[in-house]
Amino acid sequence: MKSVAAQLPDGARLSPLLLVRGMESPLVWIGILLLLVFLGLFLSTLSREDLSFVLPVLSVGYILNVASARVFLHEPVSPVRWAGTVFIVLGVVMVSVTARATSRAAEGAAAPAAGTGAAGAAVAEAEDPPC
Amino acid sequence: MLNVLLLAVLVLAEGASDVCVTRAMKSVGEVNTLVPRELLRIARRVLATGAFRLGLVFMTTGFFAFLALLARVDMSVVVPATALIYVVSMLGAKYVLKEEVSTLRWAGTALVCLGVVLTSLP
Repeated sequence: MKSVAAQLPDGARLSPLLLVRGMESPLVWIGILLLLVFLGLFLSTLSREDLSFVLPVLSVGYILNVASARVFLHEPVSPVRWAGTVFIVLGVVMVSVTARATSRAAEGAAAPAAGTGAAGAAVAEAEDPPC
Repeated sequence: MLNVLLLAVLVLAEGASDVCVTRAMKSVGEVNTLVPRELLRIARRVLATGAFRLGLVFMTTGFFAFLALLARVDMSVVVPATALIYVVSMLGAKYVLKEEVSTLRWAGTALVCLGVVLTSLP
């Protein structure tokens, strides 16, 4: 997107033109393909675990992102930013200790007493719930 | 200012899509197979849920806001700033999906957000 934007006049940097031109770049398509792979894995994980567990753990990706911005795109990364990545690591470690899905906890604890677990009720809700 | 607006669109859309997509996957049930035919069958069921389609709309909105931001700001600023999505998604997980979020999980998420803010500083 940086290389596409560089070819456009300043005023056009937020126009639909930018997005259309972006589609011509193979790098954007590789990105979309990788996003699809991510989506498949993300969905499979979400079917088994809590959203509030999966999301923080996913933030390991942020560290890879800062590192790759530094290595591949040669963007400057300050010590403060590196310190931030350390906080992210600590946070992820703390969250991963809590790896017990609400739905499973409900299954184990209150499977016979139908509807006791909040998530159990959520799962049992209509096939097509409004969001 | 436009950058802030774009970030707000990105964060709200992605947060909403997380909640919708989780709803859809929880209604479809656990994915326990690697058999391609089974996976395809599950994918078809997921695609049929309204929650997933709505999530897809939010996801697309967020993606284009992300692209537009990337064209204007450094990737190592944009990507960390998107961690604001956690705030929206965690609130959605707790209040919409009714997940039990333990103190430790909140604390860990707060650390992640703090890390994200630090990583966003110039």
